[in-house]
Amino acid sequence: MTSSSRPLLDVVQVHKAFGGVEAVADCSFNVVEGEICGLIGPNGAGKSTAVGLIGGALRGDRGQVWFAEQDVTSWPAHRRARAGLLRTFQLSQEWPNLTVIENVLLAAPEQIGETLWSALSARRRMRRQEEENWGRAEHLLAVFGLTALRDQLAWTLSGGQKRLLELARIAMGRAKLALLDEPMAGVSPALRSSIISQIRDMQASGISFLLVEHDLGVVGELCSRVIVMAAGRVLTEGTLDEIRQHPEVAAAYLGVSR
Amino acid sequence: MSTLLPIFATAFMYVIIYAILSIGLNLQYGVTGIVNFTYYTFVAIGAYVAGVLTLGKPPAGSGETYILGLNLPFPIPIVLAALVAGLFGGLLALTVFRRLRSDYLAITTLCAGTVAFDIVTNSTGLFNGPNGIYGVPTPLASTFGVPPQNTYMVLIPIGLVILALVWWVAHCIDLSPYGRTLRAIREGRDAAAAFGKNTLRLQLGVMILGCAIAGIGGALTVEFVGAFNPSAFETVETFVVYAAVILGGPGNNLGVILGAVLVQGVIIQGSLYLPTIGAESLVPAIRNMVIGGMVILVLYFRPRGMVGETRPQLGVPRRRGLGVRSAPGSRGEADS
Ligand SMILES: Nc1ncnc2c1ncn2[C@@H]1O[C@H](COP(=O)(O)OP(=O)(O)OP(=O)(O)O)[C@@H](O)[C@H]1O
Ligand SMILES: [Mg+2]
Repeated sequence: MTSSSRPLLDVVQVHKAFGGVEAVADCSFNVVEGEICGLIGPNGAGKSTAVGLIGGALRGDRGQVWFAEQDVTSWPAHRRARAGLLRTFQLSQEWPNLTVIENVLLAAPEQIGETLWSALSARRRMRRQEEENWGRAEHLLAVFGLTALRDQLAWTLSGGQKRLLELARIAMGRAKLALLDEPMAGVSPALRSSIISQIRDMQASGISFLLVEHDLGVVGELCSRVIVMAAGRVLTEGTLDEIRQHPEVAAAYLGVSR
Repeated sequence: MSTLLPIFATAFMYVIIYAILSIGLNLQYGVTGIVNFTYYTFVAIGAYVAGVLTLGKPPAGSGETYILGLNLPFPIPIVLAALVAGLFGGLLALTVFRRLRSDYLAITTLCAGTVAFDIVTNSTGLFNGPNGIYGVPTPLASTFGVPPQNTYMVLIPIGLVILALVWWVAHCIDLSPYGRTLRAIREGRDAAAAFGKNTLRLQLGVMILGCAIAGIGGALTVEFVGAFNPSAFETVETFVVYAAVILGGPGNNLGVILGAVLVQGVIIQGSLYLPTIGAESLVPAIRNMVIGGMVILVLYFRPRGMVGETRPQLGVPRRRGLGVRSAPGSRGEADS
């Protein structure tokens, strides 16, 4: 029986070197459907590189990435995104000279008017779908507290507001799995708790997460399972309490952080 | 009256051609952020292709040599000029976008343009080398019995129809999710890819479309002037189209048409009728300095051009109004 189905995301022996630096060295881990899985590790551990390899922005030297039972290793980033694998970037990557609502609308999947031909010929269908998407985008802006900023250019937003905008895009894009690279970086404590509850709500709506985060308080609140990376390798994984007991983790990570 | 009309008609025809060229470049540069520094090479491709398709075989003993000479009727040469220019634009894009980061795009297009220029100048068998092609008849002139000095009487209506068509295409793009996605590529290619946009294909498409529009402009040029040679597509020509786009307002189709009126209609055509002062090349030199100076001033004081980018909101229920005007601020100010 081949009933041993793969988890939602399965990273198998993935490797990426930049010159002499093995940023990700033969790493294997997975994310199962429905969970928020933490990915922690000291600076330079290879977390962002791993996110890039999973999202397709980076090409690995060897190894495989499986997503939703498909081998996506050779897929370019946009194809993985269309399959429901969305990500944020460690530095927010909003589209600065587009408005906030345009930023959200852009994430809508399968837009009819997104080719030249349909922009010229399918204008009525396009407009109808756009009105639907617009309604959904406005709803999401309300959910993320961005309604007042709807028509502002995205570059005018504060760092924390940009993080919220990125989450709104993920929700708009109907992600199956979201890779969040330090979504709390530069976010005030007040906004932090709001982002935490947003992520929970998104999980409840069926989105799974791989969450790269330095703040173990946030990790403890959100993640049922944590993967620890150091120097390009997976050190260990388990619940936050389990990994706290791990001697190497204590030395490599917890020791320096707090 | 009878002396002024041809002058204004000629200037008007050039403005039409320039408006078409500006819309094409705006799609690439203003909307998608593709810095194509050899845009005018595609104008030249369109001009040469339309020229040799409209002309018959080179007369024996004339010493002229060029390919084809098919004597095709209007509008086939214009259509084929667009197709060939678009094809070459796509080929350039394929070599450039697959491997290179967009920073290198500018320099690569510049090199490609130089190569094309040298090929056309030195291989006389292609488009008659440095002397270029000439004597290209005006389309439909004989049909309507228009005298040769009044060719604008047929070309202005043809040009206006083509301009309207090109503008309509650009306008539909502006109003569609397609246009929004192109702008997202301009604003951040990695983020666009991370949200499922096939950036390579989209950029390829815009290169093809923009270069095809350049080809149409070139075809109109050769049918209007009747001649085309390498001196007509030196590198500076590309920058004049950029000037129109930057002065008018990158990303705004009406803005770039305004830029075309200013640069081509006022400055270039106007300076042709200034009295010669000093050396013969002085007026054109001053003219280019004026254009260059204006571009610098606009980039410094008003980076969004005379008319900023506006984005009509497609999905907004009508009562909420049509447009959201961009908030003040420039591309340069965006902290990325
Ligand atoms: N594009 C690149 N070129 C060269 N080296 C790189 C590149 N990207 C990452 N590296 C190297 O790979 C290693 C891992 O970097 P990465 O950004 O993945 O770490 P990280 O775990 O995300 O760190 P942080 O917590 O600081 O964000 C580092 O040593 C870094 O210098
Ligand atoms: Mg990182």
